[in-house]
Amino acid sequence: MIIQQHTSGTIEILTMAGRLTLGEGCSALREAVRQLVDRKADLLVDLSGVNYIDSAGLGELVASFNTITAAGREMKLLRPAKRVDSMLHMTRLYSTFEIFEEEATALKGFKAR
Amino acid sequence: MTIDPIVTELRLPTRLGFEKVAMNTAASVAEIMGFSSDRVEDLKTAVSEACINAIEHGNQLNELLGVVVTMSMSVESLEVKIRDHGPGVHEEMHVPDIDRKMLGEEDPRGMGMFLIQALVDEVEYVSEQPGGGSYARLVIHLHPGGKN
Repeated sequence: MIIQQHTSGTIEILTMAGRLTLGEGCSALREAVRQLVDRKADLLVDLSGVNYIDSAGLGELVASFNTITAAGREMKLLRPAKRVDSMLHMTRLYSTFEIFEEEATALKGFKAR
Repeated sequence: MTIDPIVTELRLPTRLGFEKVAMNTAASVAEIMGFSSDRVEDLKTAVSEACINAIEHGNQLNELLGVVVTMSMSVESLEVKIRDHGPGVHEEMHVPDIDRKMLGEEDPRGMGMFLIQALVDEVEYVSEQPGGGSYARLVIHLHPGGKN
């Protein structure tokens, strides 16, 4: 799992590539989220490069959402790749996360800080 | 006349990461049988989830134990049995409450068995005689009421 970060105002954009699964992928996301909470940032997770996700990866997205919202910040998802999109639909997470196809539109969806 | 299934068997160590060996082998068998790429991906995820359950919950990460994955290929279907040394699944499958998970009121994990059920045509959890271990049996059909 490779995670790249860039910032837009108070929003951190995490661009993930590879497998979001039990072990390496989940650990990398958890660590990135922990650092974002320390920096009091909102979070946009770009999933376009995630080619495989398992139940642990889905759970890690939910755990990340819980961590970010408990810190009073927002988390949204961007461009889930086909397989991830399918898993999000299957588990009904698609309708509970805010999911965007365009980064600019997603960024506009965050509250102004 | 019935044709005996063609069987492929793997013995995996009880170590996370080796589920990929099972998922990739199951995918190869399914591809040989002519399953569509989407169905192969479904099977890979289901087999991976079942193997992780066997490693984590069945064998309790005890590396002295093994996980046996048996793939039986027949004309119409592919059956994958994932056998471990645990007592098996005794409760009804838990349907995850996504709203409660998103509110932090339920463990964010715990979607594996739900995914398995959604991804394959048949699922069965069988406990063998006391102390005999248990297995998950997953089946996908080539022509199930139109799913392939």
